[in-house]
Amino acid sequence: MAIANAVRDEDGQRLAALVRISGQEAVNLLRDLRDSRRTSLARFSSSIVDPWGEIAIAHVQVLVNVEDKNFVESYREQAALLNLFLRFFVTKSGWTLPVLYTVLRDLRELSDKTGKAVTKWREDAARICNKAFSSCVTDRSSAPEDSRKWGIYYTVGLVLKSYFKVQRTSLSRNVIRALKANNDIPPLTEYPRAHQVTYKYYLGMLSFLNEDYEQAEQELTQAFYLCHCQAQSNLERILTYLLPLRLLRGHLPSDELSFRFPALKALCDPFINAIRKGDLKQFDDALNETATQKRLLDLGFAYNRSALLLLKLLVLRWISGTSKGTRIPIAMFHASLRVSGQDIPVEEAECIVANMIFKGFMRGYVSHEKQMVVLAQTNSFPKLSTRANPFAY
Amino acid sequence: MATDPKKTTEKSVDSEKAGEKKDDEKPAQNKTTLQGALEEDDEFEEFPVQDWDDSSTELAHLKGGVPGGAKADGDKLWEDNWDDDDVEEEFSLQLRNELEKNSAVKRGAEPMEH
Repeated sequence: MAIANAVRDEDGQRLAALVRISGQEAVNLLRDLRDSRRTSLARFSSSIVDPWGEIAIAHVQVLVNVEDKNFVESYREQAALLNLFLRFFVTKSGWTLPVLYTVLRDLRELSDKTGKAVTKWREDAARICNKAFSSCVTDRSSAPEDSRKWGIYYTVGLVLKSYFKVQRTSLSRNVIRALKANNDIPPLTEYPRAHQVTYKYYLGMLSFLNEDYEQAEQELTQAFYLCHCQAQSNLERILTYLLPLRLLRGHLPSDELSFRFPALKALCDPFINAIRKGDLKQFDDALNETATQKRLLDLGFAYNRSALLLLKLLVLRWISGTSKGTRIPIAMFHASLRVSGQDIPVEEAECIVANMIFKGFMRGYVSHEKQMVVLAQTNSFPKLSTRANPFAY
Repeated sequence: MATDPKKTTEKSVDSEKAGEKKDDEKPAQNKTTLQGALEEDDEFEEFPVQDWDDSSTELAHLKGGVPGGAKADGDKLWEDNWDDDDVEEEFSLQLRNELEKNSAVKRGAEPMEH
């Protein structure tokens, strides 16, 4: 009866509360329930506007199965509920969005609990989220301010989360393409900040995984600054990936950052200390440590790319400090790399120097005949932050 | 964090066979040394609220200002200083040793071949 009223009043929040798996309404419903069998519930369904009778019955089945810890079955019922709901959803305007968010959230949580075949159910949940996303995009009739389109970025967020969870991030491209193909979608900045930040985070992550570090830094930086300042674990997630990119620009985490995010300090300190000390061996150790975990592997790539260059730069810088003057024998650089724990042929050392010059880390040239690095008279080591392409490798 | 209990159940479900469990414990230990309290999972958490004012953003929190009003770079979470004089001295000492050792090895290598 409460459901019927909420549907009649177009009260999305109230309706969402009524079909949530957790919360007071669910507790009350289970308490008052005498007979949860479909057949005995069917007589109620006729008293509510279609398809809410069926939805209510499916909801009861979900609750009963959750109560019995029968999560696969509860997932199936919730998926059925979603199918029913989406049919209703596409005929309505934006007031139904809170209900959509709630039932999708519950669906994804249930899929996480399905045990042995968890990946299969998570993929199924991803598919349903995608369908919900399409149902938001296709609203061509509602008034702009009350359009289902306002659900687009929230559902996209769920789709991306789901793809990442089942490690099929390449599928994300389809969603992003769909977003670009529809030019009647309101600009991202007009969406709630929670939707914006989540979307930016995943865009940043995708760029990061594709090793498009410039784009990744942009998206992650925006996500970070826009994020709610008390959403500690989300801020930490963003920074986890932003940090190695910032290193590449020559920015180190400050004491304040370390203080606010101690876990990140633990993660990046081995790298930074190794770089500071010019200890390539220690750096490799830190890198191997990240390789022990799948999710840290990509981080390792970024650290590798960024820090190894910085490290060599510092080595060069120190030599120039030691030798005074603008001419440095390559043998010197070669020896210093060995001190740092990297034993390579002298030709490779020469190659590294040439590469550093090419990348704009230092100014000067290599004289191959004389086996000598000749540095520019002024500004031989430009500030890292002034390099034109900090992410070129 | 509210989702933690869920994650632990997830983990035990994933590694159902007792044999697998042992293998799973090793990376878990590494994790504590390596990343401390870093979340196991990258999934972005659901925000408790959908929208917030400029004043609640991290940027405002950092600067006491409004997003867009200030340059994105160079806030107080980052610093620009890679140079460290102490290390530099230590390094040049090591380098000198290495160079001496190297020439000593070269000189020493000759007589050994005879």
